[in-house]
Amino acid sequence: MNFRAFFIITLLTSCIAPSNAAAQTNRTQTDAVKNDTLKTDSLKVYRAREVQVRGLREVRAAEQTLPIESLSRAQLETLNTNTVADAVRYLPGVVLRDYGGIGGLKTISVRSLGAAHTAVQLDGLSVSDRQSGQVDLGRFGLETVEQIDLAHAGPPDNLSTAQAYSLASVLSITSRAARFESFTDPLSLIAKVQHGAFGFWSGHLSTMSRLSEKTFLALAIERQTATGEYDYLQRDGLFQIPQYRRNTDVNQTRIETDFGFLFSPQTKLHLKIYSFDAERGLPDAANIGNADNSRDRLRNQDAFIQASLQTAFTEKFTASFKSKFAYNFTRYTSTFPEARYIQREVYASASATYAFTETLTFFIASDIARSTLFTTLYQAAQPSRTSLWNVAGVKFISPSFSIETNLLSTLVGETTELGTASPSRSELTPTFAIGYKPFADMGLRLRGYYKKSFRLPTFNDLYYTRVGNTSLRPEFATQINFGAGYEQSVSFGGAFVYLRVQSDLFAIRSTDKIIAIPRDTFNWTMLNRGLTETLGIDLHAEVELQSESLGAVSLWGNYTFQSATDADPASFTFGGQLPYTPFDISAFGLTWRKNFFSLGTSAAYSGFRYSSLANEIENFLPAYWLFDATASLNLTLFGVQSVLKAELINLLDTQHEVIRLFPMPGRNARIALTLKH
Amino acid sequence: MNTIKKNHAVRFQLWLLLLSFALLLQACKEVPVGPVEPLSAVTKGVYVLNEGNFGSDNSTLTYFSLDSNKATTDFFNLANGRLLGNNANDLKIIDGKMFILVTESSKIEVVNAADGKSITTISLFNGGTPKKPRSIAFAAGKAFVSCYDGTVVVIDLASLAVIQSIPVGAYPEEIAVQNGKVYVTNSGGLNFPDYDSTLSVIDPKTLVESKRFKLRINPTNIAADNYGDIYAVSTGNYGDVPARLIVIDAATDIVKKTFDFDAGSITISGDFGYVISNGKLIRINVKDETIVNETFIAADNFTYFYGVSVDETTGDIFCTDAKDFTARGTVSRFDQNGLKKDSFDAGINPKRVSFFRQ
Repeated sequence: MNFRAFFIITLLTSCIAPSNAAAQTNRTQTDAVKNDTLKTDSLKVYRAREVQVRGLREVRAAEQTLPIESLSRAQLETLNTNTVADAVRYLPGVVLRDYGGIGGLKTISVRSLGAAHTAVQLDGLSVSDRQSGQVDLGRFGLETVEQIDLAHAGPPDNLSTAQAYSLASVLSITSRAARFESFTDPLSLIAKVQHGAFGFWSGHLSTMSRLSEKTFLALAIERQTATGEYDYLQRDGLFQIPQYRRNTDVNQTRIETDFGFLFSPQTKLHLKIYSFDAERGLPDAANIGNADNSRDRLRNQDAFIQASLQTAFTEKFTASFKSKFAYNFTRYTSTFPEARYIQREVYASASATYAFTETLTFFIASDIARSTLFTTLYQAAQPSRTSLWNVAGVKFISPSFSIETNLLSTLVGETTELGTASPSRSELTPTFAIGYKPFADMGLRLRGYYKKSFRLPTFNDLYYTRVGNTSLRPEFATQINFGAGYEQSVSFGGAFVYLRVQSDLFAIRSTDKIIAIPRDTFNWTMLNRGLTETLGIDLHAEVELQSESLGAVSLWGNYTFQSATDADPASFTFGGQLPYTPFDISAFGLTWRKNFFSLGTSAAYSGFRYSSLANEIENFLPAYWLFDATASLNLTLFGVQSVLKAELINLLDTQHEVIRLFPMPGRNARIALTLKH
Repeated sequence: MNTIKKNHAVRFQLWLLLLSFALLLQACKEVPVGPVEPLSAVTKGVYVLNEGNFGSDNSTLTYFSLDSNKATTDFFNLANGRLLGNNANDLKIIDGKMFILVTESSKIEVVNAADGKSITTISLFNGGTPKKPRSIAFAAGKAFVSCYDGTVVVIDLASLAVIQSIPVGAYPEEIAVQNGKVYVTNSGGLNFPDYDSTLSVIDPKTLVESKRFKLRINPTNIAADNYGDIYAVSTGNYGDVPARLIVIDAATDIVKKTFDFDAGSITISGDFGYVISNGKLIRINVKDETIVNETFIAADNFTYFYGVSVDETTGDIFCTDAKDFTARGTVSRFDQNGLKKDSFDAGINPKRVSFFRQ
């Protein structure tokens, strides 16, 4: 597909936006376009899909009852992005906890809540880590990713798993293969080679083929290696000491296989087999006087197989059945005895929606999961957890007014091979959201939601030898959000302008925080303690301008202010801002595309932070700005589309730390050549 | 970059100067090295070493002036424009020099006790492996430093040069001098669950481990009295084996007595031993090894009673409170009868206290 066709499609969607605003004001209908290939006639579907695949945005974020932010394939291509971790930094309200370098752990914190409060989904099923509760987003490559959505308070898809409703936010990664029904070519090939600083080499090869009218097969293999070493300046009071980060090498292979089958226009099966194998060095805290001392190694072998069957029994009644088996192996080698961890999870989910009328939809979902952890730790408990999630909800969506509400029940039971298991838990958590569009002919929408959710104690929290505490309660988060969104598209003289502004005010009260308390240098224990309160505001604005002569110019910006403090009056750190939670975070981007050429630049700001609840000078981490730039050439020669992309990262060579004593790399560059056929 | 180079150059010159001065002194006469400051001197101020949080470079030094009753944190940073580092564990003053051991930064900062200005930084590495100093004691003109790499490093007090590294047991914790012998507790602390249970004895003249004898599981804290005994805390296994305070006759290295209360750490001053036990302070008599006060200072004075030190010139007892291990802690001063006088703010996780006398 050439750029002109792309241009036309994007223009088309922009034109549709204002006139079609009423029809698109709700999530259900966008979802219908997104998920349901089947109810409408083929031409319409084709167009909708074209919009999805090539369009600038699929979910119209300002119009959602619940806040959602998305990054489409097109946007990802103009940003500095190698992994999902790189991409989420551009979403409002997100702080990426980054331990630095290519192999460093990268987890997401949304609106001051810890990583365990965000569900991470890949093609509709959760990628969970019951041991640590956090998912390393640096492990997910972007080459096969079509879209990333960060949804607050619940998943946008009516046919989601019940578990997706269980946490404060959902980060959904959708792969290209998950939308296989829109793929029409008999065979397409993508080959990509990437080279960059830190001895980084990456090779990617993937194929997608429509084997028959009904069957689809995609294969992707990616291998990355890097020495990962870099120079940095270590801050020591008034001095800066040149240092070199070592033991940072990474060697990883990811293989994804997707199989799609269309049983009928109403029924679709997606089977995914995923494997990830990584061996890497694990650099330790870069202490003053002792910056480079780690020889620790980490080996990860993750594999899962998942199946998702979606069907429409009638026009009103749709259902989805999903299942998954996941295996995660971790081996940590250090000067201490080697530690090995094996997690297994079997997962099954069924969900259904019933549309009573055009405006009223009922949905229900039930999930069951059994998760086990085996460790070689001394006196390991070897826990197993059976979890049951059930959710039922209603959505009423009229052009001017919408209500969404659901109630989730979570049942958890655990057993151990050694010692006592954590007692069973049963919790009910509600979500309630309203949206209001005051003027039929104006793209303004007001919205609000209330959600209660909790994160369960992880296996480490409960059972880690000597540290774990089996009487831990879940850590609750209650969110209230009020927002307003406005979007407008106008066209004049062959040029089209799209504008979106949105803002959300949020308040989060988190109780029974699970934290590690040291008893002395050698002894820590996990406890529920305290209360934190977050008050914040997310602002997002974007403008897009498209014209034949100018090309496409897009400018966007995010700003988040959050005061997230220890609100327990009995605490010694009462009033202290949460660790690694800047008051201000901001990101801006400017991209320009014309013909075969595109340029992008972005800036990200993190305000000052503290590494501890004790907001003292010795825990202070200064603010920093980061600037990136990308340029790419997109040429089609002899039927092969070639994309050459250069990325300049941290242009000003800003020396900074996200996590204390884990220095981040300075200025660096990457170059990639992609061939598509 | 320039400042660093300059700093190094200055430091090198300073070091040369010190070295030549030391050689000069050596040439003239034997360097006099007393085990403690002369007690006729007046205590001018109190140094508090704040451990900080493990994995964070927020160890700090608090100086509390007894003239102005004012506490200053971070005194080291103010004096030197740089940070102490990660996990500072011990400080002691000798001959006007203060030795600050920073374990995870694997270095000893030697500063002038009068103004906190750096004299030198002793970086302790074995090849690329950090030695991680934990505790220091002085004997025979030398400093003996227990290091987590299973050694005791010997530093010449005149030249401040490392002259020996003596292998001892696993994770040696503390160090004390009695009867002209250096005692080291081999805790095995990070080898959980396989703790060590021995004490190493080093001859400070020949600089060899002359003896290693079994005591009880996980020995950590150690102190010497004026009656030829060593008091050692066996910390137990934090589970079914409790912590105990054990008295050893240093003439024979035979256990004389085991106190059957849960012991955290002991500090000895004159005839009294002060033992932190379950958040309170027990006072014992070290002359006849009896308990004097079951509760000398009550647990409700503290959130987390972390360390105790006695100013021998005034008899005042300084108790540190680590609070919740997150917020900055406090130091409370009690008189010799255990009555609280006052308190001041310190840094994060204050533990060791040293007295500056002039």
